[in-house]
Amino acid sequence: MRRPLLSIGACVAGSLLCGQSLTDTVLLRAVEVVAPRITATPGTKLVVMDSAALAHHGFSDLGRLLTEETPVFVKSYGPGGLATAAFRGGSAFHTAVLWNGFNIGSPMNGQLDLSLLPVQVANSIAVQYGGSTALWGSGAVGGAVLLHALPFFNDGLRVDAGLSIGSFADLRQRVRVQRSGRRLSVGLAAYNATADNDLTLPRNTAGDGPDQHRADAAFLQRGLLGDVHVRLTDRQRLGTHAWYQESDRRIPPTTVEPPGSARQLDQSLRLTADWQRTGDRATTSARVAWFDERLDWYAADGAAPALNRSRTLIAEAETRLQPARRHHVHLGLNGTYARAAADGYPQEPRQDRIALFAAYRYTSGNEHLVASASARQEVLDGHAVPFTFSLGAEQVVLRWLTLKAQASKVYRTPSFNDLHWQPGGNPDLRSEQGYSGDLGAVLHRTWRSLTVRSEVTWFNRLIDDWIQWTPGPAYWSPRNLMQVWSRGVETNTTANFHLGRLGVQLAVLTDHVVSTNRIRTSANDASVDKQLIYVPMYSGRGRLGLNYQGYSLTGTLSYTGYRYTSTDNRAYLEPYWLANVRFAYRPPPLKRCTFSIEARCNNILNTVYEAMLNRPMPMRNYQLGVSMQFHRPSKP
Amino acid sequence: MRTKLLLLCLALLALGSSSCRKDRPGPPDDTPVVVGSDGVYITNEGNFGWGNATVSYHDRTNGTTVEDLYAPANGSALGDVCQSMTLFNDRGYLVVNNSGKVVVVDPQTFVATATITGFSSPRYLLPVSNGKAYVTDLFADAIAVVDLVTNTITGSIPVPGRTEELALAYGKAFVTAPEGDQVLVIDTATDQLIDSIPVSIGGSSIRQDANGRLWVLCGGSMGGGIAPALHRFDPATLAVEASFAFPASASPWRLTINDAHDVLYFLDGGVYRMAIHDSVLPTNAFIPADNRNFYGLGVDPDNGTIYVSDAVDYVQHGVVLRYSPGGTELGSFLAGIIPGGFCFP
Repeated sequence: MRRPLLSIGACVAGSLLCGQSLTDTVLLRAVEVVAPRITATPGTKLVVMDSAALAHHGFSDLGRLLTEETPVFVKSYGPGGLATAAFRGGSAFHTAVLWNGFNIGSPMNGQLDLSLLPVQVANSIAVQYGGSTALWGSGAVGGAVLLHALPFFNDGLRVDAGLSIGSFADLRQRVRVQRSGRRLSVGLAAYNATADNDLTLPRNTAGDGPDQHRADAAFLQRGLLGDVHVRLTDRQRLGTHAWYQESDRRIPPTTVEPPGSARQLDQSLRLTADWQRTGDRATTSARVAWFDERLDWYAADGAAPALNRSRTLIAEAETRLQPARRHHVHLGLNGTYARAAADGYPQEPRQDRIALFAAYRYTSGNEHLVASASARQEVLDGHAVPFTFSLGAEQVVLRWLTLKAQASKVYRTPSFNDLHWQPGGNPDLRSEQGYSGDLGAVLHRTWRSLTVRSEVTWFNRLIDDWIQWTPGPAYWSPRNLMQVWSRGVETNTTANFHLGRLGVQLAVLTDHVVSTNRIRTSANDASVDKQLIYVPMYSGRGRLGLNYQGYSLTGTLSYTGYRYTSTDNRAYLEPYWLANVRFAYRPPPLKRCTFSIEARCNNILNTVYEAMLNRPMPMRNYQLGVSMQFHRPSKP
Repeated sequence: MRTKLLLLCLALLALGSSSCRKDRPGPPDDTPVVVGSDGVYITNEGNFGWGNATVSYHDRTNGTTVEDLYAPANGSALGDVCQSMTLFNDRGYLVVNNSGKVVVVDPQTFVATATITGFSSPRYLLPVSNGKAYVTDLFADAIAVVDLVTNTITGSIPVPGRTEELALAYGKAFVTAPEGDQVLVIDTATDQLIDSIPVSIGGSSIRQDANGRLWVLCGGSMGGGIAPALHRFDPATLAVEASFAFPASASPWRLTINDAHDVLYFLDGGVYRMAIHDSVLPTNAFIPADNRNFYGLGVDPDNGTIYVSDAVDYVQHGVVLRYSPGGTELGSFLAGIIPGGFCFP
């Protein structure tokens, strides 16, 4: 437990104290970072975005961050358009996104549009691979993205402001002010982004004739974030977060449809509060969240909107006990109440969900073995849903080698749309459920200034009652149709070294995912043992970063393999290579101010590609950003 | 200890690599094919919003099949949801619903010679004279009048609500209304809506029999209420002569007629047939669905061969099955995604 927490703390400190050395122990001691609760079961692959990755994405949304920093395939409908992530051959519904420990997926459609999540709403981002429903509940089947806005104490006054300008009239501004003392920390942030996203489509992808312009994807987004944290006593802390965001987007049709004027307005208000008491043997906390989300859809200019709204109340209490030095026990109770209104719902559906979870963790005397067992039982509207568990262990076998193993039961309950949408919703749907397992090895070695870390993970997952929407005689309807077997190998290798004052970082990530349907649903069904649509079997990326006295140059190259667009795997989208280059310069600080400037060129190879069928992606494009950080440390 | 560990690591890697498999699909068939004039065209809708509509071809003489004619011939995708195809005056008219267009092609080379645009959601095209056609347009509350010489929309006939299939008889066009309870009558000389014939709600397909009578199949109202029904009327007098009510649980659609124009066929799960002189609706399927997802139905006007398509899961290439008029399976071939319409020479 202690190690991942420390790493997250270090990462946060790193990202916020950009330019400062991470080994500056004085600073780390002075600034207190409050770590989040349990982050992962031992044996799970957890990738914490490092400070460099976060610094690279000061103006990005989460979809872009995952696309560029992980091998996870993000189904993107184009700039500003819907983006969802599918981990390990799962679907968008199998990815849980948590903000400060709360699942922010929509109870209506069971997923989250990653293009609506600016990276700056969190100062710590970790990606957890594999099943973790025992920890996070329904939906955390393929993976989870953990976003935290961690509070700081004793950090003084910090102002961070930035603006960027890019191709497609993309303008972004952000500012954050944080004042923290020994007992009180207050932060306020605002952001704004606009873009017209007028893409010039190359010849022949659009079908009819020469170069075309797509001019119906304009995007506007703005948000406000506030947080207040109070240290009530030396042992007690109270914190609140408030986050309001609205966006207004044109939703462009495919290149084979006539230009449209569809428009989507999203509005979300997310409020959370948490209290924590730290004792010698027990840490107790209570947290509550209120989410109010609206989505208004206009099929065309002047058309009557389709209104959707969901409200979610989550309350959680937990205690972490340490009955003896090597033993940790974690007990918790979660209550979630959600309701929603939409034209497609005859009645306002409501859902009551109570979850009881428990975890035990053993750490060996030399800390070379960490093992845990956890269990979760949820009761959904008075009915017990599948009992889930997870078992995991990590063993340091050699100084340079750690082995990991994890097994868990996973499930996903149907969303409101699956159950109640009229026409089509199927109230008799069962939860998807299955088993997921990982085996992994982490090799870690240091020779002089060279540090190499390599993680290889093999995973295997079988899910039954996979929910699929299929057309019926009159309308589409979801059914528990498929059994899906997903397996594969992931590698994640990084190497860092110094040549004099030149710092070099090298990273190579690869993904091999085979995710196949195992059930023949009708007489002529040719989808058995075929790869699920939009799951690339092979993908990978490499990154080379060079740092020299405030200058940094980063190049990334990624490969996305064939994605099939028919379940018989006969129709497909071509693989593509993408390269991006980023240059940044940070001159030495001027008194308390640090300035930085960055320039990026995305898709430098000018690759014509589509992540989704007939949804064009931008050709070569540019972004220029400047930012300023002011920091007046608190008096010692 | 170290050796053991190394072996373990190697075993782990081996385990991983054992799941490796080839992802490269077979080479795409992108050589243009020039087809003869004795074949059946199959319009494959493709998935709504995916733009993967295609047109397949089955040669009646030698039994060969081409999975897609359009993309290889034109080097570009056809569009989104190809609803229907009509052959007229040695031209093929492809109605591409969600692309809001009608593509005119040479029936042999399949090279597009013109594109008629300006529709919102076109469904079916009916030539009403040598140089004029009507196109039903789902959301336009109007029927478009198309000049087949200039390939442009020259007028529009306002109609109350949505319209679907059309049939021509006695100089009049008879148009079904999927949300209305009437068949609309249009004077093709004046392009005016002149009358309507009361039927039940949900009119979809319309066919003319050997006696010159028109048959219209109505799907009823969605979500129950009004049961589906089959009506026969006289296009000369506009009088409804017979009505057959289906049980409320039925979902009949895709009405078509055989080569002699004396046997009706339709889909309701399986394929049903009914002679035009029958006094009751068939109760048993002529070709049972047998765990297949029948989606399109056509009968060859030359020899009565029945073509029925299985859309399977709607996200893979559909299968077209051929049956003799007696119901014997003659063979099958693979078409595109969601094969919905058949167009015979």
